[in-house]
Amino acid sequence: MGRYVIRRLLQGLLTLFITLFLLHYLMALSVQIRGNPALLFFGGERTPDPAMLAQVERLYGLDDACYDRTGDPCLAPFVERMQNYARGDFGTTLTGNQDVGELLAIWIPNTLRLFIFATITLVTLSMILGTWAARHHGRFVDHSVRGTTILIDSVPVFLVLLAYVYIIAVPLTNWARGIWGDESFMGQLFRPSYSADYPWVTIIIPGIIVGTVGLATLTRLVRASQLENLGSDYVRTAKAKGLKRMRITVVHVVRNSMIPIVTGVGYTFAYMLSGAVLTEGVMGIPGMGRMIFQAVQRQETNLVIVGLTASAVVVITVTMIVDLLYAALDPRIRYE
Amino acid sequence: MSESLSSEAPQASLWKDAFRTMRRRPDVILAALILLFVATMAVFPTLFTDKDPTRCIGRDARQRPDTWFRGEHPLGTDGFGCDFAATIVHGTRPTIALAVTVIVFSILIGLTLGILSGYYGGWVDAIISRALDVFIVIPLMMGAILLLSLFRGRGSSGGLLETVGPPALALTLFGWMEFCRYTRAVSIETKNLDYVTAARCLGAKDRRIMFRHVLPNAVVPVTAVVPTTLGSIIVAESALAVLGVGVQPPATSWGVLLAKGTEWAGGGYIYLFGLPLVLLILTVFAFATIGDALRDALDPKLR
Amino acid sequence: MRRTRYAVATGAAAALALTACAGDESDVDSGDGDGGGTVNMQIGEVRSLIPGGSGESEGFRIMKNVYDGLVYYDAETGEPDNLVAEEITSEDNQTWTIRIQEGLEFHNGEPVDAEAFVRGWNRVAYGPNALPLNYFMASIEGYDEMNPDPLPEEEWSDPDTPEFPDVDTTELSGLTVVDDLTLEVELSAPFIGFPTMLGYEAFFPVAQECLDDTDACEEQPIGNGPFMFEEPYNIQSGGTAVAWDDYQGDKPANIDAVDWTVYLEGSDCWSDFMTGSIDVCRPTAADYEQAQNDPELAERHIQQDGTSILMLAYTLYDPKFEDVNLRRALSAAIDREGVITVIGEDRANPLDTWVPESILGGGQGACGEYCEYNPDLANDLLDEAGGWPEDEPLRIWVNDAADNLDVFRAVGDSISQTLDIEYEIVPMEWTDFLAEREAQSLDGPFRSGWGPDYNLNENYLDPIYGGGARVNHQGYESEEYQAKMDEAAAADTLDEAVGLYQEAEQILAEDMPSAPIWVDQVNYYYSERVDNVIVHPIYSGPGGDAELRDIEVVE
Repeated sequence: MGRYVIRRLLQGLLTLFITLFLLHYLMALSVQIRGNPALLFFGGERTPDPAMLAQVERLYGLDDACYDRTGDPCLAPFVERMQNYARGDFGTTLTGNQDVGELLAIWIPNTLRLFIFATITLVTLSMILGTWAARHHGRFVDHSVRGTTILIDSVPVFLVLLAYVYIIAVPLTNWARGIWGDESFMGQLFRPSYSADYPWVTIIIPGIIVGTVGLATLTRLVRASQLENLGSDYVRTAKAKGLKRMRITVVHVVRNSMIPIVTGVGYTFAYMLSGAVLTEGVMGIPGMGRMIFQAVQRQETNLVIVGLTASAVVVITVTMIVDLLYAALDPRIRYE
Repeated sequence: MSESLSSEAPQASLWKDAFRTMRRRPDVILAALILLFVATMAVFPTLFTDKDPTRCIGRDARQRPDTWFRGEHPLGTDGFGCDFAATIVHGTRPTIALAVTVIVFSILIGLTLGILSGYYGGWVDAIISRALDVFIVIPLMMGAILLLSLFRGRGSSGGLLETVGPPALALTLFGWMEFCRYTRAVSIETKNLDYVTAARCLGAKDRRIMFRHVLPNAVVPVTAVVPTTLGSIIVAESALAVLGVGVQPPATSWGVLLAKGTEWAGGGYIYLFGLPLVLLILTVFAFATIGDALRDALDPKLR
Repeated sequence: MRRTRYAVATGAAAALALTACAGDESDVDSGDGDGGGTVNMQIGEVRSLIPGGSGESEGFRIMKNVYDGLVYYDAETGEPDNLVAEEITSEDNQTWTIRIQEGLEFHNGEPVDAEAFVRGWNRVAYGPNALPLNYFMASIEGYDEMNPDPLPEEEWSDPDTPEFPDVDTTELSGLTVVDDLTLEVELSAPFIGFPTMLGYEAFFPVAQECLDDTDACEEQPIGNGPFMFEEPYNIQSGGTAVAWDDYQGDKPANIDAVDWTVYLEGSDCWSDFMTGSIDVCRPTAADYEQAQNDPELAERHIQQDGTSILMLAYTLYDPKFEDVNLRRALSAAIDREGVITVIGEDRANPLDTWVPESILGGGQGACGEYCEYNPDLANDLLDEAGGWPEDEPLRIWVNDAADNLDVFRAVGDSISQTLDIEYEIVPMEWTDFLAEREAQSLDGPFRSGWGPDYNLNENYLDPIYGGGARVNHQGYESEEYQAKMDEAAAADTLDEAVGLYQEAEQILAEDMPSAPIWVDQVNYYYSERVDNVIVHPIYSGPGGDAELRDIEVVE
């Protein structure tokens, strides 16, 4: 077990390093193909003075000659960048000159809160629906659960959000505020946009909506693994012992079908950040997805690399934990 | 189609069985009809409309389809004053073309790398597995955005290839991993089976073993996820379009229509948003239903 | 379709009724009787809160309330009235004497004296600080020493990267502190419009404490205006500025506090406005149609001419566009009304001149018939110019932000319908667009937008078309035009100067280096909580804005 963990850790670090380099290369390409982001610093419709432009370039390490040669991997700036990161210096943004590390410290919690609500929704819904479908295997309930989850999954989640924000949120909020008041939990819950004053409450609804992504897949997993368990020897034994149906479902079946769910959730994590781009954009949540998207648009090299690497770290860690949990949940699996 | 790929009798009957099971399911038939309709629209757009989608008059923008299916603009006009019905119909081809391109190339890359990595193991496997990890770690949407921002400003009102090229490339590059993972697992499993070992002892070349024995086994799990993946590519395309980095207007796709539609949906022009949305949901739903049924049919354990 | 619309509309009406109740409640909580109250404003991303560091509308919206400048732009006319300045005088338009009011202080107790202005201006002018508004100081004597040209090419260590001599000069030689309250400014050339510039952010005073710790000052600016931050402002989420009790100046605020909520790109305030969380907001085009049909909202609607203009600029350095008749033909082929229909009614008004009416000396209709949609005239002009090269699309270069692409697609549609020329939109990121435009490497007309820095028609002419063919983006050069501009700059009175600039605009019209398309129109709505909502005629934020020194909260 110990050796397995160490090997996974090393592999993870290697993946991380390659990811860093790939991102660096993509951003260097972007500077080479799209042109100089230092111009951004001057924002407006103006022609910056060449003197000032060069100063800004130097300030942000964009003055290396490799940025003029398309295809050049810019190794020297990469090494420099790695050294800075190793020192804990993540650089600053071109617009506003803000510290990237500090920005991430603001954004990551917002995105994590979104993920927490999304995961809770996803797991709860798929467990209930999957169990329900499995218990009524082959009958109407089974078919309609599967049909419905597929249909829900077919609707792009950002369109659901848009519909919510444009059509439902305003009347709902006004109704809730009329009854419970502006500052109440209900008065804030349905808000059409995120509010920094209520960082938890206003993120619940978008979280729930994001949580429907992958519902069909996970429900399917739950259903399949429960079907397998329902037919297994120990369940038959339990039935033979005369245990109540509810007890069998909860103690034996549900617990043993946790394994695919843990894996499923682990992998969903990587996809959630994709979903976060649009969700955070629509709801005005200052989180990772949206900020990285903006950073790409603005060629905020530091932000893109650090942001995506941070998400890579999360994904790698989660996958590793999932694999270890696997062993913890299923006594048959042992890592050498 | 698949029979030709596989030479072994049990395989063939698996496919035949699967087909027979699916043919009996009403939801599958409905889904197939929807897909047939969409495919016809993509291939023969002129069957559905005789209007030119590029003829746009600014002053006629956003005329609601009050007459519905009759009159000069059967479905009204869009935000630019183009005939909306023509826009939708002609937007189908790029959408479908993009989805098909992405799936074909993803499968090709995934199968090749998966078989190589699973069959040879060792350092080939190490390299491919690392690549797999790296691409999984960068979320699809982020990777696509990063890559597509490189193509901005390349002008895109040209041919089909120019229109769907960049998004197709981006989605393929960040979409082959699932196929690779499945194939790799199957290859590892298959290469130690008795009949493969036997073939090797008889002096079969690596290439022959990979094509004749390993590949057919990989076809089943890969095919099972194809329809669902097609659906998710269509969704991903629309997300990219909404973010403004997918297919670039004035070229159209469903994603572009949705992106434009969302801008006006709040102002009482729900048809601009609703019609492409319904079309998209139906198509994705059809793909998912077929995918679901196919997986059931190919996985006898769950029947 | 009808029913859905109806449902949404009634929803909106109900929303308003409920907002009113909610508003009353919150006022009871905070109510201290005499006016006051908190106004909730939307804002975009602010770049900086230290004068000279922002250069965009959103930073200026905060700074103009946290700081008091020498002059304050009148909220009705947009003309500069003295605020911190006692008087601003000059005999030759080159040496300006500024007398500062006595007894004014910063929030931290430092005096607002001549030194406070000099230190702020020097910071902006110092090249290595690389501040966005650096160019505002270019007219002051001594600017060149602080912003030297690059070293000769052979001295660079890397042939692609320009290197610069070190800058030793940290002070503008043109600024002289005569006494505590008198500042003398020497310009490098006469400029009649100098006082009109002084109310802009770059010329605000800066406290010494702020310069000693700029990081802290960025978050919690030390100003001299009626509002101050008690807690740091957060660029991502906003912040609250409260009225400063000890404010001594002439333009105090009527409210207790203002709360800014940040809306970043892609999100807008309208739904929050409808739920009562924001007091002044600009609806998106789709929401606007809805809002217009709501009689209750109509009473709280502000509609006035804006100052931001949009043009289709020609690349005169490209031989294709040499013929002025071609340039006129393209312009006459643009159905400006149609383009505005595409992006939403009332968002803008067609423009037939280069300086909009709301600006001093603007609105003289210099473009005339060439800026009106006339397919026949357009085709005749095109024939006269010898037609458009066959098989070559007209490539329109557009920076991809907001709805630029939609706008120019509509422009392109109109041109291609009228003249039968195929067109292509080339979307670009802002930075790429800047670079290509700069390098004069575009092969077709491009988007050109402009918003004013100060209220004078010169600001719409010189920065866009001045500097000669190598410098401005169109590659425009005309001796006659330049001579007229120079003559105007040296005029004795402002009126005379305005007249001469107008003549220069006429010369520009003859050469048509760009086709004016529209001037935007401000459409804001405000909530029932607030009153006396005045939108500045020259400077207002894109998402909704009001003069915070005038606005009142009604009980």
